[in-house]
Amino acid sequence: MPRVADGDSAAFRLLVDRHADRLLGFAQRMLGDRATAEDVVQDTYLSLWRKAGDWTPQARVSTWLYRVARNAALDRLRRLKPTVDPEDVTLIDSGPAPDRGLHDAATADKVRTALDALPERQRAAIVLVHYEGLSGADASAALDISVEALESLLARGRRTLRQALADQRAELLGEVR
Amino acid sequence: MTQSNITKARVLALVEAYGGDPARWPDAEREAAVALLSGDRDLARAADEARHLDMMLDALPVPQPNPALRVALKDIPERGNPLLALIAGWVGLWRPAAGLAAAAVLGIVIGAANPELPLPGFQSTTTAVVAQATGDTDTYSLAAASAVGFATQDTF
Repeated sequence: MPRVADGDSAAFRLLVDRHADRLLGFAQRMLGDRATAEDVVQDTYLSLWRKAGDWTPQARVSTWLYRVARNAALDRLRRLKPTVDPEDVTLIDSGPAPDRGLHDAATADKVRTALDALPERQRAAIVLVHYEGLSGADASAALDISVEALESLLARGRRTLRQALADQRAELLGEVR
Repeated sequence: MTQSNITKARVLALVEAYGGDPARWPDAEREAAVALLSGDRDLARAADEARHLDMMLDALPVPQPNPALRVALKDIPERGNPLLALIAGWVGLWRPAAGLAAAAVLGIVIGAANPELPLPGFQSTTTAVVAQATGDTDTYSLAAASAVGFATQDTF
């Protein structure tokens, strides 16, 4: 990061290679829209190039980037909400992929809808921990909250998801058994 | 945290927050939590429930990377240089003023290069005043006619 702050473009490109794909996954799961997620990642790396000097060695680079990406996603969500009909938002990969059954696609749609319905902070917590595999400590740092607050968000979010996906759960259990 | 001092409530809280996969639980508590869970039916049932939710969440497809996006991102230092952005902003702000200044300089250069170029109105009137004052009637008539827009050869 100090090299990036000094204008070292090679160091910047290294951070693109290391983190861009995961940031894209995070943004896409937060927003449910591929094109907007890509814009968020662009915003994130523009911020990185312009504000790398703001980074402090106490924060992991990945955590810092997730925090910037989450703020960029929040900005996009605020801008999108009044004008975009959720029905018009293209959910990338929500259709059945060649190797996925219709049941999987239906479950994915339900999960997407349930995730989108969560309050943003709960969704961010679940995306960071469950999908991005961040530890509680790293996720809480990315969200700028305590570990206890993170665990509370996670528990509330998962409880809501469990209720929203109750029907899917019954089908899933039927298949598993 | 050791096996002896982790509580059932804490393990339940871990399951509810992080799900049924111990790999997601905090490193410091994992071993003790797993040990307590393995001997407790309530906790085992809670972990089972949590795993079902984990499985459903995993139905969401993994977002695919975009190589073109990576290329565009790596280009940011070239197009996102703060100094260049500052200059671009300055140019945008001062463009109208710069245009006026350029026009003024161009006018001065053209004027200096062509001292004989007539300046309608001012030159004619000034010449006419001087001619009138000195009694040069020919010049006065020509200059005065020019000043009001007549073509000298048509009138005289």
